[in-house]
Amino acid sequence: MEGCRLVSTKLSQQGAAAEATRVLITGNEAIGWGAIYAGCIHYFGYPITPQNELTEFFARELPKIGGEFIQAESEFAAISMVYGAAACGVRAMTTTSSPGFSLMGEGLSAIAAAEMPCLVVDVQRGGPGLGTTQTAQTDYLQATKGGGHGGYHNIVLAPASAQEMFDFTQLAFYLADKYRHHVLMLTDGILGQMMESVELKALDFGPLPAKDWALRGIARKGGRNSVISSLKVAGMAPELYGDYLLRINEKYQAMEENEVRCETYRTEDADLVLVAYGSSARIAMEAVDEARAEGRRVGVFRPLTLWPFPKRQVRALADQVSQFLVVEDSLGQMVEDVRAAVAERAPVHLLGILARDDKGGGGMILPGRVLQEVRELT
Amino acid sequence: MSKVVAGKPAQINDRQFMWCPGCHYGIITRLIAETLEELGVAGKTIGVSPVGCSLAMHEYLTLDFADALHGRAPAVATGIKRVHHGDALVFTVQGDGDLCAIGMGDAMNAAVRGENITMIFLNNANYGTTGGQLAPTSLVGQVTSTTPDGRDPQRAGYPVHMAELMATMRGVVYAARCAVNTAANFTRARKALKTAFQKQIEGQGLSFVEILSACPPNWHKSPTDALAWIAETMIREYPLGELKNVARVE
Amino acid sequence: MAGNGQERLELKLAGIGGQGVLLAAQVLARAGVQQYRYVTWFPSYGTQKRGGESTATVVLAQERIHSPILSRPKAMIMMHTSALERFESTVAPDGLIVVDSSLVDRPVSREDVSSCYLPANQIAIALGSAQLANLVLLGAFLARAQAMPMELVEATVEQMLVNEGRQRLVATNREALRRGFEAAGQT
Repeated sequence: MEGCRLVSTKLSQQGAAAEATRVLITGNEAIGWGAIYAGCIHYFGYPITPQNELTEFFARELPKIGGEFIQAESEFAAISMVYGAAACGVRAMTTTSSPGFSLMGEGLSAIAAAEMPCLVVDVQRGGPGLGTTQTAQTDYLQATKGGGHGGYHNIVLAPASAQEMFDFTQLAFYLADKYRHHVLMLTDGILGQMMESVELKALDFGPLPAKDWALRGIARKGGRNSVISSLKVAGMAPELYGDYLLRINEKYQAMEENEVRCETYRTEDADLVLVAYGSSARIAMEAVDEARAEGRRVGVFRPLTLWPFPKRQVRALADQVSQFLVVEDSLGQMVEDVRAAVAERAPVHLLGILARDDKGGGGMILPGRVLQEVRELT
Repeated sequence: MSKVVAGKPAQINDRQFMWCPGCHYGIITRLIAETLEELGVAGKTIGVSPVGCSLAMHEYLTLDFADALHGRAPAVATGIKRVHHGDALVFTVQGDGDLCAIGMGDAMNAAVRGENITMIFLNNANYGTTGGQLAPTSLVGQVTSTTPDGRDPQRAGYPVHMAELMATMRGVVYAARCAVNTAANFTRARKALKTAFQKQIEGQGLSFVEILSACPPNWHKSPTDALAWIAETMIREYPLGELKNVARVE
Repeated sequence: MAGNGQERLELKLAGIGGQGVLLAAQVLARAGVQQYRYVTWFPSYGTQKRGGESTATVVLAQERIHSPILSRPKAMIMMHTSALERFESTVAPDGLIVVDSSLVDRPVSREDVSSCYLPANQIAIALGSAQLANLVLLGAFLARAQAMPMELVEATVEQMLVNEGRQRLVATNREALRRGFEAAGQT
């Protein structure tokens, strides 16, 4: 598939020949290890289900390696702490779940405007509001359209396994430093709480520019000072608003050109393609195997970056297949991006949160339900 | 004609409590219901729940309730009280994180305004619902899931004494700390809560009642050991009694 | 039983919060890492730390595992009547249901699955603690599934306890597994 790179292949090609260790850990912990392997030792977070394993992981591990862990008093305190640490040129991160992610909205908007590289992880739970404490995929639009005010973009990575959560965390810090921009990793309660075997290995993505903008006191910078700010008021900021917008626009274009990642599964001769990310993609792939055993020509298209969204690749598929089925645990969010990319070349159906097996907070879209839908469509 | 000498307060419904064995929230729910019944004000009472295990109280009490976001209960209560004024008795229930961490700003500002509400603070020295993380009220040396080697003041500060802190605020007319680990303490807690509600009825500023509570699973203790820990250790850090009781804001 | 063994092993446990459903599943997962290329363990539980419904699903396979969540698990352990009520109909045809007869008050009604009953809670109490019922039931499953050597699972439990500094519990925990294994042979 042209332009569509298997992230795992790309990563292993670039991978350092570091020794790998194989462990059985939760997805949440895999992110923790990914951060440590990426050299991130500054973590500021607040407890919220279903990502408490992450806060607890950093509380346990960072002191052992001279890192800084703070359980902040709130999510907006946490995101401001991340901003402060990132402004000093270190790799910094926070993790949260949906309601906490909303609280971080203003903070992320500021981080975007100040162009502070950092990683934010949203382990999605059912929303809106306090919603449920269990898995969902109801933050897609918020994540891919910015989340806070002002029209910025998050680079959004969507892993679907503990191994990917480990690998993508390292990739996230690389991308953050490459573009001097924050990165959002969007997972969910299922991915966070499940345990899988992971190969722990340091990944090397290549050289990065020096962070000469970082705050360390003018004495250490030959008298030169830096102002890290999200304010663009003339006379009170180092850059004119218009110049900032020009520069940021080019940055986003570069990201859209270079950082799209996606994966296909059994789509070569497919007539119906399921589009899904994260845990829904795994459920979709299971259903596809069963459908293929029944002789149906089905496959899965899995975006690995939700922003930049793989529009070109979806559009190319639209010329090959006769229909799409978006499988996502929401009332329909990613389906909007798929429909925009398909641009009416083929029908795009949705199997969403209303197809869960149970109306309680712990309901899920099961492989059997996806298979049922595939049977009806083929 | 037989006289009923014991029973369930009218305000408590028949739903089964979801709290863990040995949790004191059931007792505290009863405390609130009995006090409202005694004062005859249940019909005009509006509660505001937090994010935390005590959120479930509104499932068991037949009262009007609003759920607040984490830490925002005093702000929500303010909104309600500023509509109804004396026609409603407004109280909040909050846990450690809700009141002392993410809600510290809102809590202190309700006190700054001398908001005429009653704040009930449930202190069990950890974040219960999310699995036992450090709370601002955790004791020095206490093992929690985010202080696996014990709370180290160098990294994580010292326990916060909310009842004392509230007592320093001019807009606060009543601040007390109680426990419900013994029958005698329960009786004192009833008295304190009744006083607190009466201050609100008299329209005299903010009343604050802190209640020490057990959390056996996250303390890694049996319910009976948890009671002992309150008696022997928690009360030493958090002494019981009235910290402030004035007729009106001075 | 058909289709649940060397290439791919599935087990879903269901019970009430506090019964150790997640832990027993973890034991199987950790043991499985040594014999299978891919392992997933997936927990599902309510907000309450005690008392709510609790399930855990383990899949061990030599091929990449797609979904860690199974619509039709090939084997289940039911630790409480509510578990049987909720999940009996979801077990795959020709599957296996292992039941704690001391806490489940009715038999399996399906005729297209095999079942195994043992008074796990009673066995556990006789060993010293009801908390061991989960391992008793796991032992019974292993006897029926015959996909993993008991010694591997016992060694895994031992390692897990040693890592937590609870060596003194090793003997009873291993015994719990063995008693379940033996009890399964008797039904």
